[in-house]
Amino acid sequence: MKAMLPRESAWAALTLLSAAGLVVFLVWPLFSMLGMSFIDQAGRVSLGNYLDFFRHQGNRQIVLNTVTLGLAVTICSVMVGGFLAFIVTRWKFAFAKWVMVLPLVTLVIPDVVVAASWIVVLGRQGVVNMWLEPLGLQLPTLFSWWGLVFVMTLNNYAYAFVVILVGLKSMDHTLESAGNSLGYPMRSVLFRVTCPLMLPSILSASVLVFMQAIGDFGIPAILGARTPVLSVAAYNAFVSEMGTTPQMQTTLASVLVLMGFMLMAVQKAIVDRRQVQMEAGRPPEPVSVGRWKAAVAGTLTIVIMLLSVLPAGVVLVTAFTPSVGPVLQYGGFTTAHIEHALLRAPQPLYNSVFLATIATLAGTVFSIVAAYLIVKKRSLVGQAIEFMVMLPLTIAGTVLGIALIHAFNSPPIVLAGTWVIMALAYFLRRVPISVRAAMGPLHNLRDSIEEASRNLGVSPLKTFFRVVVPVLIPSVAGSAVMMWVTTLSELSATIVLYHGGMNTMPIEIFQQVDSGRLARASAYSLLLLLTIFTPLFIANKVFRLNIGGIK
Amino acid sequence: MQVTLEAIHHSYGSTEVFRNLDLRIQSGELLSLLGPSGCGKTTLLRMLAGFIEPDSGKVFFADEDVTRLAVHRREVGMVFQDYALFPDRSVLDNVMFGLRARKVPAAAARKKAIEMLERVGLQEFASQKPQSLSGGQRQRVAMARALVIEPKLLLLDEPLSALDAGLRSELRHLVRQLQREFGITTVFVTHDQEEALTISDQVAVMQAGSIIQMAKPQEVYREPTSAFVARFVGNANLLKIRSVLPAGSHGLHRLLTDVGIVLSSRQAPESGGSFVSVRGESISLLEGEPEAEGELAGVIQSVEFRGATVGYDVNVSDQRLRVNRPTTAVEPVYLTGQKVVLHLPTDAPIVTA
Repeated sequence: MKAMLPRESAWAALTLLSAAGLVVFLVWPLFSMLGMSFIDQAGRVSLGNYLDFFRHQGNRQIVLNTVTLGLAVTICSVMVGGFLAFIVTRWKFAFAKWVMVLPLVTLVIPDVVVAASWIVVLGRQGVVNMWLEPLGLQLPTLFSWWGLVFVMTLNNYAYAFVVILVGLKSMDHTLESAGNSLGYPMRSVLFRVTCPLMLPSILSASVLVFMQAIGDFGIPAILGARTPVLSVAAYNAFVSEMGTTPQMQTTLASVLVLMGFMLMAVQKAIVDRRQVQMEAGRPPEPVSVGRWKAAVAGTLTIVIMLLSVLPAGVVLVTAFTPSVGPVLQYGGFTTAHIEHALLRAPQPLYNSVFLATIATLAGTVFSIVAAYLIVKKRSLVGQAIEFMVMLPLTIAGTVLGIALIHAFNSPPIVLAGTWVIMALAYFLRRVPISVRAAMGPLHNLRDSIEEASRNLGVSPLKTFFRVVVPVLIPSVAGSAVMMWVTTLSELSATIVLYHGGMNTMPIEIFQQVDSGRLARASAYSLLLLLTIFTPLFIANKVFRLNIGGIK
Repeated sequence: MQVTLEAIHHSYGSTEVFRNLDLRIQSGELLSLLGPSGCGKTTLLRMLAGFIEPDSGKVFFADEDVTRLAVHRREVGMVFQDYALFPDRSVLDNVMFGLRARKVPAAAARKKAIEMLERVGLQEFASQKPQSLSGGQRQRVAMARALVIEPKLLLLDEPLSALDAGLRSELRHLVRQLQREFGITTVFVTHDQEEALTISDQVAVMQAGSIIQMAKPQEVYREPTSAFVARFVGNANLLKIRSVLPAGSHGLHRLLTDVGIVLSSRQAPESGGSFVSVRGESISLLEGEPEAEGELAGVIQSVEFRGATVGYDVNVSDQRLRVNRPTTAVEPVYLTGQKVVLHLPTDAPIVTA
């Protein structure tokens, strides 16, 4: 039977401290928000808020939009990501190696930047429409369903790609050979053997993408004026505080939380149960394919890659393009926007770097300790820590922001209006990934290694620093860099929490786009991309950390 | 250094592991703890290392009570079953680890570590990482790392179980040689009876948390005190004694067993519940029919030719007896189905269940 706390008093104290921190700063805000949604305006416990919510045709439409968008983006992302993963692992063709950098690139380019740059390209006054104008043609508007699904698929297919790729790579090639030798031709083997084995990967990829899609704020906020979704509606309810009651805000946010929980339940009930244990073996080798297959694969790969990195190119050009109001004058050159972003109003850059650094430092230390408590000092409270620490994965950023502000704008703990609450949101949103990164090598670190160190005369605490920490460093350093860069692009929680003077880069970009200043938004986007890619480049080239890459 | 365990009680939850266990290991001796998995031998070893504190009872190193002494203060060297080499450190750094923990200056520690690596024949691997070494080489590094701190007690937890047979016997020699050379009191955990018999000064056979026999290897083999030891060490044939018959004119006891009358120079208890323990190699086979009391008729059921020996399963009164015969020029190799006469030794030990 598992003990309540680890036996050693130092670890027991740390366990309690970590658990208490998570309860105060994560569980309490979240559940008090959920609780508020069940208390009606008269102060009684009831489902009244939800009944009011769903009685409203507009609200039903919002929920329907959210689910529809989530499903559409999931289906498209799984198709694109799954197809890429399949051809990369099975076929030999030009550019196949390049696909491996895609996940990193697409996952770190902030969603606001992606949305902004697609407006530049496909928007009403966009580049493509400028070309089409002389022909008397016009693109359908990007601010619509197809625009949302198109941009969000580009922003999310990499998650599906990574998950399905890992699934394909962990498959033993002898299984296919067995199917083949038992009498199925190779193309039937694909459907009879490979697809069923890949089903768990495809399902978990779907859950992951769906969660990302319904939680995303930047893209639907910019492109989805006609198709309101929950995350944006919750934010709007929050900013127009005059118009709505706190009950309405918390109910909106809670609907999104409950959807996340339901999805987790689906994951547990269906996906995890379908997980099959495969004997570790070599995955099938990529094979040479016919010329037309290779050509199609190569072309599609190039197209997808270009679409993925296009935002970076667009912001680079647009940042130096003169503008009159919202109209961009291509062909000209100006440094005015960059000067503005870098010299006249550089505060967002400072804020972003400051907050990301604080959150990353805290997150890294915490994730080492938490992972150690979860994996090596197994206890009941440790189990609770594991559950709590993974909770933010199921919660949309907007919702987390709303929960935090409701919990900490009145005593006993007042954090609203300080940078601390923003750093806290960064910390909570990214810490699950860091903890997972630290748990991996700890699972592989046999207990006997620590015992050997103690046996050779090193105290348990020193053993932790001399033996455990060094083993964690490569993985933790990689995830720290990743936490830093993804925190830099965080928008959905901090847009709720920021206050005057504490604009971050994504918030600034969002506001510039919102007021139609695409060139200025591009200048900030360019700076943000440089801030993100420089450390990634250094980490990869100088420290040889494997970040975002797949072994 | 003499090691003493006194009245040890220990439980995991509701499962009792040790009840009132006593053990004394003489200074400089190599003691093997031999037993099947789950018998408590590894728990006992970990208790000596300090990873497990007994619920009650005391552990003494010489005259010092170390029951509650922390692991890192015990001056005990341990070789782990999986070697537990630090994966991020070179072979040399692994061996230096314990010396540096003892504040030995880097240069001196390095010198000592290299000497120890030379001793186990791995000096040229000093700068490599453990992953690039073979299983046997890793095992030597683990030995060097444990010995270089000049421990007062050396603990080996099935250190050879992951290696193939040839390497096992080679490393067994090395372990024994180093142990003698350094004169370190050593406890060696194994479930392999051959290993225990070849390497030890003393063998302690464990069953369900108790030491049921502790003696020199030859004695454990020749004079098992219980059916369990007889079976576990050397796979003896156990012939259940039904009754003791009146002695005959030859002066030997006549024991009625499941396979017939067995003659024995040893006294068997009248109360029953005891066995004659007959080693396969002490039974001789002849062609033909039994002619005198004590000889048994059997039919060869299966033959296993092993090179130096031949193993037979012989059916005697519907009981299966294992017989091992040396391969010699004079003795034929019997065939399946052949009728044989079995001659049992008269000095086979009598054991109780």
